[in-house]
Amino acid sequence: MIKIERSIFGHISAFTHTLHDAGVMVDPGRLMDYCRSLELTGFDDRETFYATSKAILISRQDDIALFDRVFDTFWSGKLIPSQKRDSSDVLETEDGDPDVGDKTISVQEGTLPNESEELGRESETQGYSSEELLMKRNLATLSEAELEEALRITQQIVELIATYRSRRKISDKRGREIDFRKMLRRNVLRGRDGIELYYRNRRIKKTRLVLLCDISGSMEAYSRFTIQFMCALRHVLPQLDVAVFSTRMTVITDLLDRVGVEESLKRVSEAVPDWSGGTDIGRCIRQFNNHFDRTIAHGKTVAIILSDGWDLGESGLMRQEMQHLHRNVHKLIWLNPLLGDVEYQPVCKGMRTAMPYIDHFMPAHNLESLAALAQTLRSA
Amino acid sequence: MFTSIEHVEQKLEEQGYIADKTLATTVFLSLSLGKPIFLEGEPGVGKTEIAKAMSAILGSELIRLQCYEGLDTSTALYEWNYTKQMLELRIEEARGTDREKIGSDIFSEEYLLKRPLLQALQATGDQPPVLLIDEVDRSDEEFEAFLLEILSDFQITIPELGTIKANKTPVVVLTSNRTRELHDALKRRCLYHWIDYPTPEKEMAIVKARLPEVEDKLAVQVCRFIQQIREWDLYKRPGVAETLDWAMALMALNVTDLSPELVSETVGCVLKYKGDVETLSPDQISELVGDAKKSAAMQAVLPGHYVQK
Repeated sequence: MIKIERSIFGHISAFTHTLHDAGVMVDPGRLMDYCRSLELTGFDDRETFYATSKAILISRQDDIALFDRVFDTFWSGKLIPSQKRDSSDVLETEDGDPDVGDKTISVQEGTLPNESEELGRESETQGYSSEELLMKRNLATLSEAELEEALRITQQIVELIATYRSRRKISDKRGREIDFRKMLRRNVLRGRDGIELYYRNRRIKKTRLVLLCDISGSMEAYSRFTIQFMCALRHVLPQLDVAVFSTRMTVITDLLDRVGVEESLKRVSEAVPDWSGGTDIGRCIRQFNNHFDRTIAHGKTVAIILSDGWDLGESGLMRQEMQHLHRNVHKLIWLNPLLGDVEYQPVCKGMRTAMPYIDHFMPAHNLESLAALAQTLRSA
Repeated sequence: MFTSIEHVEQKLEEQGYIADKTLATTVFLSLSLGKPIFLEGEPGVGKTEIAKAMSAILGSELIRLQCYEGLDTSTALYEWNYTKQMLELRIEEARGTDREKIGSDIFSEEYLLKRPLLQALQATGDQPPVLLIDEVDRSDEEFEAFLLEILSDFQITIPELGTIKANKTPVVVLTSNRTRELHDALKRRCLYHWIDYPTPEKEMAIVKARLPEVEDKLAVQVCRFIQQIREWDLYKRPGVAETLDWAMALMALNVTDLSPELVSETVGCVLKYKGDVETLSPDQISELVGDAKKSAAMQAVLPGHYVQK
């Protein structure tokens, strides 16, 4: 039985709500633990109270700064009355720490703008042309043979990355390791009549794939290839998710579903407003990390970024987000069309920032260069 | 077990583990609420050490499970002793036991090889054992899911034997170097603590606690030097483990005062990557050594003043 005075409980519960609204998840179980802990450690000393709150309510390092800020604001009585955020604090805040925005300071529920509102405003602020540029690309120039070649190589690659051998073992007639457990159990009653051997092998599992394609202005020359690659891959691989980005991330998986290339392109060009726009890789990856993190990217996901790495955004943000993405996926592959140029060195700012977090960095200037990708994956 | 947070701090200090308030609180609450502790931090900041310190305080067994990708039940939980089972079958056969009865009891506890998790559940000491699940970020998702089950109920089921419940709920410490993010469900069952690099005072206290025979001057110099290079953009920044290693190495060489030559000879204790060693030019070493000496001199006159940054 938890015996915390009602008035104090009110404050504690309000505090956890504030935290929750600010983005630190606090579930009811946590709240109960919190109350039980406070009974043990008391309210006499601010430092102890802080330590207790932190020990119970935090479950990831990224939340610590946010937590500290909410804690200070809340318990020093400097609460700012709840109000709708105005458009000046839409995305990054000025202080360079995008996680700790103004949204941390408000108690009442429902003060955060809802998703559609935010997205709507975002597209207003980013005035990139929404003309159907895609339609102007003459896809008829792609010969049948080229398209077939694309599909053939893509399929080879897909076979390699779509599955992986788990470190876990299952019974397998073609395995090379003896499955002692099964063997003994099946042979117990055989006595000396000979023993039947059973084998086990590493299990084959499906990888989840996510393809993030850069469609900014600098990639325009390769856009035909990009489109082909996306559609072909999606066509043969149901577990693939596709997203495109230049100044914002748009997931277009559903738009590519089981319709012809032409039809897909029409739909995509209608849905993606920032085709051939500027590039802000950091912010796009951030959007991806925040919105699709757990559903699309997880420990067994291979993320493929197709981009030239020319970035006009803030490199600090990009570093942080690349690191986050790298930690959350199984492998991060970066395909760079500029790598086909023998003179090319990854010197542009964006590429340099991303390099430490990439598992495989390889060329993608034409379909043949993808054979290199296949080779690397085979050995991985 | 412990009466207050201060009690935890004091007990840990007796074991040479200097914990800050939040960590001591986390340990106190973990023991009071019976929840596992989940520690994250850079390598070498004392994540594993705390489990050792706790087992020494409790006077109980430390059971360690090192995680890696593909870790499965046969290495984490239990395995049947196949050799023994097979021999038993042969012996029974030679004895002329009834065909129907042969092998009827080879799936009993006698033939079970207990791996760390099962050992922790079946420990018989007066005090609960300390179960250290080290570097859990190296394991795979399947193992995480499996841990969830054990950490919430502290019981496991072996198909041939039935359910085994913990004699005493073990004190569980999970550590992670954060090479990947763990699933929220697992984190939710634990009390989280991020161990940061220590402050200068704390690092000094750790060095003196772990190496009582070190001279003050050298200790200050070493700590100052390390604190300074930790600010650099290194591939692998030195942790407390490196500070202690380095201080020990210098003591073994009978050094009482740092010099630039000594630093370049022993830098392998501190920096573990060739690229990192190369960033340290002779000029910079001289500068850092000079700074460390100044700091030590200042501390000799005004104790406690080495903390200034």
